[in-house]
Amino acid sequence: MRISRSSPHEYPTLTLGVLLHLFLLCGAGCGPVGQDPEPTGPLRILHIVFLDQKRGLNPDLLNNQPGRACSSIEPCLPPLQCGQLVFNYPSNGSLLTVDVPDPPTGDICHDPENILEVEPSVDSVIRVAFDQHIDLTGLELPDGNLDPALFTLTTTTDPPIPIPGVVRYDRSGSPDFSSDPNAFPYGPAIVFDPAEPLAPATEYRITLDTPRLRSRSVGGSAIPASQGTHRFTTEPLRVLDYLRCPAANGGGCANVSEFYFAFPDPEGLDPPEVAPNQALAFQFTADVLPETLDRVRVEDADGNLVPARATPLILDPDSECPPAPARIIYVVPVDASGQPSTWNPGSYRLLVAGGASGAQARDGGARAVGDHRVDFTVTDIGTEVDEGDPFAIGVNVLVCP
Amino acid sequence: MLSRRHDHHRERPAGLARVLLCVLLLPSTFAWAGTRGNIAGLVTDLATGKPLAGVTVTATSPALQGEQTEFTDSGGHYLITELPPGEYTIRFYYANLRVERPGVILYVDQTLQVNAGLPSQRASTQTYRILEKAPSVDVAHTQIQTQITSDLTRLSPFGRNLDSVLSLAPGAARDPIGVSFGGATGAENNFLIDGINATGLSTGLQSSNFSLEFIQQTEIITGGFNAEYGRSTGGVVNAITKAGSNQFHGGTWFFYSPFSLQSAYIGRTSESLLARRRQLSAFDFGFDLGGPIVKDRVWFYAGFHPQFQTDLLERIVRVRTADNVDRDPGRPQDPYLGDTVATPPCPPWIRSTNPALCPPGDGGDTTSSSYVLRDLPQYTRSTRLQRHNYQYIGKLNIQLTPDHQIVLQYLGTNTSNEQAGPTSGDTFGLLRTTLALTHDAKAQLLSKFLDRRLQLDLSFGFHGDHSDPSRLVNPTGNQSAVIDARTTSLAAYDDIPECAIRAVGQSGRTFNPCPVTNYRYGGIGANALIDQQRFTVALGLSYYFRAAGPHGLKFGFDVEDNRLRNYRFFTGQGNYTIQASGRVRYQQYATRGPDGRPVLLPQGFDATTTTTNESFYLRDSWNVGPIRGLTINAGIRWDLQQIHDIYGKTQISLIDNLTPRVGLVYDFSRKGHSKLFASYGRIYESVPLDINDRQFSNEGIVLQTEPRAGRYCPRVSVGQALDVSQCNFPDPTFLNGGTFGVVSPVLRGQYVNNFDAGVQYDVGWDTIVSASYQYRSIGRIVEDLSPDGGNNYIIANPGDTADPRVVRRLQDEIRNIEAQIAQTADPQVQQELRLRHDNRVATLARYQATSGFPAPTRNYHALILTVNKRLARNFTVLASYTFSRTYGNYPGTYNYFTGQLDPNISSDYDLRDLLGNRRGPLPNDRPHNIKVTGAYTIPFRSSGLTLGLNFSAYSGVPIQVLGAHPIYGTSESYILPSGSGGRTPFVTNFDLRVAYVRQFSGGVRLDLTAEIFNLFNQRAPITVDNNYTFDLISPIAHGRISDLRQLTNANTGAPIRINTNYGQPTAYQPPLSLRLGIRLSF
Repeated sequence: MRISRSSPHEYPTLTLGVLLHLFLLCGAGCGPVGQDPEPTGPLRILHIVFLDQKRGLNPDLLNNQPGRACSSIEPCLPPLQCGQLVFNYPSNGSLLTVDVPDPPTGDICHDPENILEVEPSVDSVIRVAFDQHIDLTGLELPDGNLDPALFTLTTTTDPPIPIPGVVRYDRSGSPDFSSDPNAFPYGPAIVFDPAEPLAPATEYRITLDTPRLRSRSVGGSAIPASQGTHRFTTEPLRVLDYLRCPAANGGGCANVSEFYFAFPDPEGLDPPEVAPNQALAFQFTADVLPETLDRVRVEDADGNLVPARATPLILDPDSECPPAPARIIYVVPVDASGQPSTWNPGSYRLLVAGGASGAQARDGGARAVGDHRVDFTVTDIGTEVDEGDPFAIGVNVLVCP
Repeated sequence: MLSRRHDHHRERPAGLARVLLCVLLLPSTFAWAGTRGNIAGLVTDLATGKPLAGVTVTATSPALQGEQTEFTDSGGHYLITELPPGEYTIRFYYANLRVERPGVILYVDQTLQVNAGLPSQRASTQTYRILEKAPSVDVAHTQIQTQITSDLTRLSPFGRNLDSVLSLAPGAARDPIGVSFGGATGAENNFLIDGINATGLSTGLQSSNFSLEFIQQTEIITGGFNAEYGRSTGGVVNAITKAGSNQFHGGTWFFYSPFSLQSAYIGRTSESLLARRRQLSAFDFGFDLGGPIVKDRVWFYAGFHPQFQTDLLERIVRVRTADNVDRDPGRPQDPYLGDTVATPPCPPWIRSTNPALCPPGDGGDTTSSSYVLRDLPQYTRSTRLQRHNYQYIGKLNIQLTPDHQIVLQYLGTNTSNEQAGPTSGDTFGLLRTTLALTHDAKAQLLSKFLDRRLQLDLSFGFHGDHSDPSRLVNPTGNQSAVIDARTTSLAAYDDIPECAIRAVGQSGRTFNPCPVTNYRYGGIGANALIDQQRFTVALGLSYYFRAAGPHGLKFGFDVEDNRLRNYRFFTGQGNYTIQASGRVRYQQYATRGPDGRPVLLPQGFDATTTTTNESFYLRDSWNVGPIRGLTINAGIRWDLQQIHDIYGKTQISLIDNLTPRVGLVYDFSRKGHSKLFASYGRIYESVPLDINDRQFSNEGIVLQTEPRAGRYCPRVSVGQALDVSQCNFPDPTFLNGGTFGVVSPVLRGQYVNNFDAGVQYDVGWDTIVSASYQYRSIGRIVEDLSPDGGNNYIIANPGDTADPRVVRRLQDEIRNIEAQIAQTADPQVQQELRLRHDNRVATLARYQATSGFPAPTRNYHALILTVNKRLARNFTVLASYTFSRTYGNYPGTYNYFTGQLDPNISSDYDLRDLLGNRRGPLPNDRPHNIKVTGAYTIPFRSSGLTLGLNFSAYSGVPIQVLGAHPIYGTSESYILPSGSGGRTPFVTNFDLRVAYVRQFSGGVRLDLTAEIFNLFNQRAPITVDNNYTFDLISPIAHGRISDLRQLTNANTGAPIRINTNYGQPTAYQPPLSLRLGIRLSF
């Protein structure tokens, strides 16, 4: 329910009735006054949000983020029409399609030709947020989770392949507003936490057990069956962006958290820039399996292969990092003996070989990965790289992801 | 009743008194403000009932230099203005007739109606005295005001300074930073000393806290503000200091507080350290003297009042026990946390709200267990903390002529106050002394012209406040502060063998017997040297005329030049914080260099900023001729404010704070004994200088966190202290702040609307009863807010929507700047234009994005009943009952739960996500508020026994269910809707004063007093811990207590750890204390 708003400039009105009402309330123990009333009426799904902690993505399958503020950094988007293309949030600029509610009916209008792409990450959880709290009577399991039949995720193949995961209820959050659905998820919500990463470039279906989902208000009703199924497609594996330090030309960042992800310019006009003694870190749309890292190659401006090694980003010198899928890949040049070296100034191109890397190894679909390239340059920008710099080549003061 | 004086040996004609008392009309009753009051009335012929013109009316009083004389006009009206508060005798002279009315007690800001009927047909010389009770109801004002006289403060048990009487106003209650009026916070009041603004400049708190020995009367205005008053969204406190007279008066005193009962320990449950503080002893002495230098011409008043107080601070150490370690099912590699109690303590006020709010029983749930603790009395340490306070006053009242007077005065305080370190920290090593000086000076000219129809009141005022908290008792305080945010061991800091971390049980599990959280050691840390100065010039012009009844027109303006210097620094150049991860964060002041990079300021940050305030007001007080007894006060006030940056450039200009003030008063008794009243007004806030100092000074904080190139601190485990000399943080790259805040292009002032209506009636026995209703709501606020989740901020009016015209104007402005950039070749001009361009672009984007924030609300409804019996027949009472509710989503300029006092730039509106569940009862919501203060003297010939009582009873305050916000941290997330945690207990308090009074010849009087504060040693909690958890958690919209089950951390997804201290008291009522005193006065 939206917070009711009154004009900030209204003139006061004498409301003896209000005072009497308050006095009577006080007679019952001076309880709380002025709280927002709990909403009533039919239960509605307001958001189906994919939360990705690593990447900060939170596309809403219903495109129902009415309160998200915008600024010079986040321009305001115009209201969406059914099936309209939108840019994803926040920075990678990839085109996505969405299903948007059909205003006249309140149902979901699906566009079978353009279905939403979401990230196939194990970190992604799917939150189905409602406008009211759900009556959990009979839905909770002894371990506190919900009956998994309430939310099922399957592929759209025939037969559908179910995706295992945990279904739970999260009471926190507001259905009305979130400036960052990752940090402040919409709620109350049924949360599906997949047990394994979703496959890239794969279509999935969400099915809700709508008759059993009722609001907890008196006489609460179930959600319409028409809102019980939703489809989406995951993105293919590709380089999403690269780590960039805002002060890279002047002296480096204070710590890893100060680096931000920048989307590689498709035109190559503003390529990533590193110092000769700095590594370059790329983020992929999905975790890259360690055994497929050799498929990441670097070429110089003439197309010659540059000896380089890609490793998962590791940021803790005290940790023993077991090989594990990682989304951020750290690329350094190596010498003939395979030891980290330094870059020669010049232009380079990072290549991700299609069909042979990434999570596709698990599901066997070559379509999961497309050929991909990112241009970058190495210049002597005067950056002093000290011990502890996570991007200093050879130091490798890195932390387990 | 009228009696004839004995100098005329004639019997008064039968019925004359009754006839004389047949008051005819209610003539001029004008409302003024400031430091004085008025007496007005109508004189009529008893025989005909017609007004008598040309009657001479005089007012005399010990408080008045000479006498004030007026003549009745053709309508029989008279008005005597600018009278200092005091007891007056009004005399009427007509031909040979003289009628006098003694015992007219006038308070500041009052206009009393003193009418008279004269037997003008009697030719012989006679003097009559009116014995009927003098009018005491102020029939000109609609202000809801409480007058606290020196009679009351001398006879009833109070503290020694001004702050101790402020909560006597109906509905007022103490909050952590002051006194709340009308549902506002204690930081929203306006404090005046003899009409001159003495409010703290930086944050709006009370700055000058003068001795009650120097104060004749304290006026507390809580509603129905006249146009003269503004700059307060709470209450207005106007302290009127004593003055000399034609007789020498004065006194000397000595008060001694020998003891107080033991106070309660305060500390976190299950942790090792507790502390308690109580007053060990206190004494004060002094003198004051007032009298004539030249009789009726020059009076002086002077006083000196030093006060000394010694408190005892004790810190005790407790250890957890490990007797049951082998029965604990935990794994051998896990540390043993201690023996748990079966049922964690749950405060009754929490249990009675809902037992589900209590921390769950242990049952192996280590996240919410409460532990068995044993005292170690041998390690209890204590120290005495001294507080010295010297106060002084000097005042001259000069009467040049009866129509021209000058007042010169100065008040000062000099305070030194020892403070200890935090309980969870090096309590005794971090002792320091704060020195504070305040100065309040005024020069005032009061003149009357044009046959006294035009009056001028010109004042020059100064308020200064200097605070230096950096006087260290121990040299260690000058080092860098270290805060260990983890739960560590006291063994790291204190040599207490029992606290040593050791292996326990058969499996040798690690055991920390003395856990402490947020332990602070090293140096003092954040410190500030603050200078505040305000120069005021105020002019008031009053003009009286008739047009369908008498009018009193007043025009006034004042200008304030406010200046704040804040030199803030970290001892040892910076603060070290050991974070939960064990990594160290270093915090240091910095600013932004020309290249945008941080420039470190190891010696701290020094900024001086200014604000200029102006106000204009025009008010007419009109006695509506055709409707007898009706007075209309209509006025308008215009407040302006220019908030300047460190370069003196205006950053915020509030120019449209235009406020109407309307009031109606009807005296249905038509004798000055009653009134029905109603009023409406809008009052704008005066934005304190904290916003200049924090937003427009280039203040910046550098936060350097490991790991990073060259940054290093040795790892410290639980049970070790950090050696900061081994740390190295040389290379800051990220600066928080360091630039000016962005301001909405259409920023407007913060205000409240106030409506009052009520009735007041003099029921006899010098007693006035009243009933009134007050509604106050906040209309608009000024706050910084971030439309994009904390990346960018703008100072704006939340709840307002972006005006398309303003958007277009900004877009045009941006295009113009772009065109100018294209046309100019001068690089410097281009650079300046680009900066301006960037600012305008940021302003436009942020302004457009402010629309999504909900409007602020703070509604205060109050039903107020009062009884006020002024001192007569040895008895005085001031009593009130207020039923009120305060609710909304904006508490005011102070955050009660985080302790943040940054008016208008608090965290309250920083993110829209922060506002979840904040609607509900506000922190000052105390539905029932009862006060009775009074005294009765039992006379015995030349002596007497005085009994004084001060009783108060308040509802408790709402308890919240708070968690940590994912971005803003502890206490910022309202897990459940506001007020869901119930309410703290009702608080009652009795103070008793017994005095033996002996009157000697020559007017000398001796008072021997014994006062007991908190007579029954009631120990209700005043505040409690509102943090349900310190874990990160988002609010549960429309949540219920049952929703607190199975909450998970917003970051980790793990079950939250419930704060076992939830609902536990963090402050109690002060314990019983005794004060003995002797006073000799004349």
